[in-house]
Amino acid sequence: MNISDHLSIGWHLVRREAYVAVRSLKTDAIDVSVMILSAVFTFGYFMPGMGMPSALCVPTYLGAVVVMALFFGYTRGGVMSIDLNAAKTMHFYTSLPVSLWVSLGVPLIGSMLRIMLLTIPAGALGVWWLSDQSVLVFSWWRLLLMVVLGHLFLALLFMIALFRLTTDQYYGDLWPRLLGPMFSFGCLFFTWQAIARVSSSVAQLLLLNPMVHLIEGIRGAVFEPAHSLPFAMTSVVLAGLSALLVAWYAYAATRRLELVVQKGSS
Amino acid sequence: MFISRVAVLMLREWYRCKHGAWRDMINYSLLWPFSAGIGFAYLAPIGLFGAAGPDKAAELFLGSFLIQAAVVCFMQTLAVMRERFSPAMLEYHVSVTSFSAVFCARFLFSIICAFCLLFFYIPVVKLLLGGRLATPHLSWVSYYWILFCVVFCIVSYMYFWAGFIGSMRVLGSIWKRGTEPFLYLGGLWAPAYAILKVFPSWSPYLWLNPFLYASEGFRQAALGSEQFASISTCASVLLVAGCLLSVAAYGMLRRRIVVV
Repeated sequence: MNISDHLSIGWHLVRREAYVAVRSLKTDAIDVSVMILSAVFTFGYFMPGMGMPSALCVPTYLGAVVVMALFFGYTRGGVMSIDLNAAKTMHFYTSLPVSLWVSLGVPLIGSMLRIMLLTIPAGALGVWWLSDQSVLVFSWWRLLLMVVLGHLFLALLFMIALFRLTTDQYYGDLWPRLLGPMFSFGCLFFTWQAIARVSSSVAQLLLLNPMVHLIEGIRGAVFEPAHSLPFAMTSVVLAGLSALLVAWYAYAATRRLELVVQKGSS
Repeated sequence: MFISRVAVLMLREWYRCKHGAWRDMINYSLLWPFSAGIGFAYLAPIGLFGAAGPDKAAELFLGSFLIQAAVVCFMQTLAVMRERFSPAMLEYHVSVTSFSAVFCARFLFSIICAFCLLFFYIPVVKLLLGGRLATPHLSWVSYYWILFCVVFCIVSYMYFWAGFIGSMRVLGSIWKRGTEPFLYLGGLWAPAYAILKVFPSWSPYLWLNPFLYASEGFRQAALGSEQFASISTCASVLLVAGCLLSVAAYGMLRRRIVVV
């Protein structure tokens, strides 16, 4: 088989992923609408009532959208973790006569699509709703790059987790041990600059958290870039981390799937 | 007879989860308070309220405790939901004892487990942050009394869902549609006075949400301010709501389980 055959089968499998995603779109749309309303009212109206400056409404709402992405990714990873022990869709993908990269790439792209399908409308609607409360300076290419890199990073994170952990560990340990600290120290509900003004050493420590680069990169694409971390730094960190995670994903998947026949990468 | 059956079934629950008990204690009593404490009681107030941050820290953090309580109670109920859909597990227990014994054993065990897992949450954060978490009027007795009422109410709420759902597939939607909005409107982030400052006309509806009494109770127990509802009001509402929900859960589960 030549490369175009691999890509053609890969394309059909991605279409199958999209078909499955569209089938649950109605339920997901209701879920995400409820979550958008909850987050818009909380960060757009309730928190200013508590004393939060209204200029922070959109930045904190964007943090809430990243939390939604984490939540959707976590749920999707859980479903796939159960699938590994039951329906074994991943085993089916790897049994197809295509390159290992196609077999592993398709579920990764599927996960990215599933999360994007929900978070992009959530982000757009909420920002539009609250846009009169902040000065927005959109840089579309930066936003697009950050959305792709962010979703790739999150999809990789959950794919590795589901291959490395048992289903019980996935549901019991992943949130308190990894996602909880990433979420709490991730500058999702405050800006990195605000912490840097109070304690530069704490702010430097926070840079170890990839979530900080993700949210600050998105804020840098939506607001005046001077108010967030340098965009080049955030995108390079996320791209570099994603490259490392791709290698780890391939390793974790091949180990967990226990392939009978070792497949080549081309 | 009934009590001995309940005791035996509770012992069975302990055997089921004792292998993961240490892991849960580390996760929910040590790691979670550590990350949520620093995140919500130190970093977020600085970022959200600037100079007023330290004063608002306890208010924000105590509200955020609501989601930890809801997650822990949800995890306890998850076992019952799984057993409901696993082949005849609950039916078997009902056939060798009785439905009321099975329900009481699981319900009591979930409350005890959730209470134990949340017991050290605030003390750990207080030890970690010391004076940075300003709780000038903290009454431990009031706090633990409210914690018990909150656990009772949320476990009842989750059992209600356990009886309501038709399959495990809808678990995510239950959380997103049936729990999260109530938490957001229930003082998870902003207390009642802040919500009513912006939407005063919401007052009659806002106070119908039992989760609001949970966050108000935590804040009142630690901060002792007139801005929050009193301990007695919060405890009464939570207990009444918990009783109503547990009765509803009992009826729903009984209807769902095939008892000969």
